[in-house]
Amino acid sequence: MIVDKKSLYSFLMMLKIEALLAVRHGDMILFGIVMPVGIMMLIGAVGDAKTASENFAGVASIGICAAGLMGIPLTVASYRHEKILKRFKATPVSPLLLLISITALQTFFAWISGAGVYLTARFMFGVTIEGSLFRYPGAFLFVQFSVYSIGFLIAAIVPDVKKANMVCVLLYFPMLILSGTTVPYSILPAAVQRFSDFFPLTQGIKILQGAVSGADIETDISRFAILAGMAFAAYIVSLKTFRWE
Amino acid sequence: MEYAVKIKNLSKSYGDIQALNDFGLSVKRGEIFGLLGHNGAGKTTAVECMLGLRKKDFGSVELLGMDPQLKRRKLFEKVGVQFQHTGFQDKIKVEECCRLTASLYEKRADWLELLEKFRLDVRRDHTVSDLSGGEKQKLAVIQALIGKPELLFLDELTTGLDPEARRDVWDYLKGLSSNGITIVLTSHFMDEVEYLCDNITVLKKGKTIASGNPGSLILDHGHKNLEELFLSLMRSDKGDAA
Repeated sequence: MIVDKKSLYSFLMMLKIEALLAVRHGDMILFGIVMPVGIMMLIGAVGDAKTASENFAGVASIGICAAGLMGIPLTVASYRHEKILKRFKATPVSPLLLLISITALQTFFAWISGAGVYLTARFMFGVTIEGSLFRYPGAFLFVQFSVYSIGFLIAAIVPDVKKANMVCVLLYFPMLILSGTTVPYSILPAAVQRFSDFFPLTQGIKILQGAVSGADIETDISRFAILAGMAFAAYIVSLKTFRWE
Repeated sequence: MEYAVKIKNLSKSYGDIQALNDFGLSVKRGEIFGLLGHNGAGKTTAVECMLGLRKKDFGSVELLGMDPQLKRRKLFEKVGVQFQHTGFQDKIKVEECCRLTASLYEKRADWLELLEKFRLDVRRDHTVSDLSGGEKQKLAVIQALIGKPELLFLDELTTGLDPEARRDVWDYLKGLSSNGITIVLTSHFMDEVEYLCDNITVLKKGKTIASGNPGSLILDHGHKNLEELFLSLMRSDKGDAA
């Protein structure tokens, strides 16, 4: 794609309109931003500083899930279904630019959500990030990259909006409940924990948690490698199978 | 450049079904051209192969002297398309839709003026999902016009429009054509085709069974109007062998 002034203008217009639509729709604001901040407050209020600190990383990744497992795949599936992507193919601008703007917006939402949860945890419950300055943001971006790969895979291989909705719900809620985002992972029975360990998000949250507590980074290397491998595979499959209509 | 559209030997099949068989047509600049046929005759396939949105099996396509598959970006600065089914983003407003479309083009028509022309200016601040079917259809046509196209493809342009709105659209298109803009349209309404089109091609099962100026075709076949001609062509055996 050629990046010139006009493409940039088209891109910013798409971004602006996608943002307006998302705000008007409200799901992303509610489930991606308000809900995680609320959950952080709740966990901090019912537990002590230690509970808040242990669960902060999980709550901070709710926004990533909402964006990656709902926002991106559902928007892409509906734009394909409504033949909006097809119509863009008959304009000077590639529909790819629209996909990029959707992803950019959802990424931004997840950042707002992560920042909101952090500020709540930091200033209401005194949670501090012990690891080095770049470790936590780096881990956050990495988890975002891996969770989005699942979203793109859904967007690519699921034939229609209804099925996309079903697949998203089937992935989103178990991960949300069992990976340690809403229900603290530590209170889950051991058997459920073992099951939940298969979820990429569970491993992602452990990486984030390690960054929060400043744990030895070596324990995360295998997690990092497995998640990265899975994400690359998912991106390649989605690129190969993606259809504009 | 005399021709805006030049198609030769275009063929396309889906599995065993030959959707388009040795299809060809030439459209002069400033002409309004009609592509006729029943549903499933291959009209939409023809349009999408012409636009390079569907891969043709065989044949050559030249739009405004360009191959749509090679010069996509450059070509679509000059070609506007209204698809048969136009979807819109959920909760998008009419105005946003126009702004977004305008942002895609180098040359931009005044979309507010277009909204007024098509009597949609009062709906400017409404979400598209609140519009009637006819209003959505008009918005789809406006979208195709926003880039100031030299060549316009309209797939079933007035389906769902009331008589007055149809007239508005027709007159607007006539005006465009007299300004040198070429229009290729498909339609099921023979009165529309007779009123608008300088030349037509009738497709049946992916094959051309008649083409030419509607007036002379009607005369040649000894019919009263295009509707009767069309029906008799559809009932005849011509093209059934395909």
